[in-house]
Amino acid sequence: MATLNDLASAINALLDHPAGPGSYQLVQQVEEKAYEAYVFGLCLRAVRSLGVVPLLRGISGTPVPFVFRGAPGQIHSTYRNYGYASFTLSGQEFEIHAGVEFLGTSGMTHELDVCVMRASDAQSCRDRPDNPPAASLIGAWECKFYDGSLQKHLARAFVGLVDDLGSNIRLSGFCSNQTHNQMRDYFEPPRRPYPHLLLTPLDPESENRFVGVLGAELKKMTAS
Amino acid sequence: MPVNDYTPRQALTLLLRNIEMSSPQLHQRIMSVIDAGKDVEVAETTRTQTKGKKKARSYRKNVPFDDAEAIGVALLVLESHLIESRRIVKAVMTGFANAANAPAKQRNATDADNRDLMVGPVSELDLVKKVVIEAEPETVQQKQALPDLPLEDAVSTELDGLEDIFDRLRVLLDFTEV
Repeated sequence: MATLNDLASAINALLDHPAGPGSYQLVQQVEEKAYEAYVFGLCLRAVRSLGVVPLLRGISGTPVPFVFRGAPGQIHSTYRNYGYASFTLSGQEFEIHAGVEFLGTSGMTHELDVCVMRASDAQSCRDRPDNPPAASLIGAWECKFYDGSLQKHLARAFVGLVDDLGSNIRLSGFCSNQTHNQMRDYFEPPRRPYPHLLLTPLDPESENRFVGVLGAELKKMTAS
Repeated sequence: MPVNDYTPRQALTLLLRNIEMSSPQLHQRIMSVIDAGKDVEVAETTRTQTKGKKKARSYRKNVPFDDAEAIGVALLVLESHLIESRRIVKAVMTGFANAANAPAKQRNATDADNRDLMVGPVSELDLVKKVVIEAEPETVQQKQALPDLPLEDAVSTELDGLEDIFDRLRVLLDFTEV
């Protein structure tokens, strides 16, 4: 029978480990944005799965280092050499962005955690500073790193956002390492975002699903 | 028959007290997730007013976790922040290995013949990319020149043995009677 001393020893082992609770501050600073970067990385993997090498770019030149925005911003901002990726499929050019604002059909601007868009629209917004229109979007994903059950209002907010992105968008998804027991039902009706719940490196199947869905859609839309 | 000579309440108290001493922020996170409670479906049987027949119905209700459940929540929060978040950062690095840095003066992703750049002779593919999170966004009014947050720093600490510690804790915090 285990004693309270056994438990105290195990807890002490956790506290004394170099990656234990004492190191929390280090990961706390990056974990939320790291989850967006993770989904951005899955988009790169989806493109690569089609036999194409995505290229990493920065708005002012080669992205070394690759800078992720610390807060939502404009696609044309040159405040930092913000990173994005570009790729070409069957002669059509696309870009992958993180934390960029778009103009909704209502005229309200919306931040998208990760998105795939037409490169021509992105370039024209960089050349002549403006927020890209929702019609330039191919795919949009909300990314939430959570440590407990997801909050329902996050799903409601993203459904409202996607509704304002118009009908051109081909893919939208709500990505999180966690889930909520009512959320899959909420995303069930047509035209609602795909629930990429429990999307985490701890579940390679969920990663394959994300990569497969995006890869298939890009292939379909560029087939001619 | 109980498997431990301590109660879930004693175990929870010991765990939370020690976490609080080591990391007050993490303790606060755990408490906020525990105090959010859980959503349950409650089933009940009622009698109809007109014919007095029994009728089953259910409704949803938010309730607090019991002590054993709260321990499970605490472990989940700890694992999310100490193990899963680091795995996510590592996966970012893997994801970026699928891409190459664009040549400095070339805007288009296609070559001169407008053919797609295919997998193959891209020398930078396997290079580890340095990825950072901007610490001080453009709109911050009083800037302090905070340095960017390199993702690789978050995974510099070895996770060796940490998962084993969690496995041990899970056994010690299992109150299923045999």
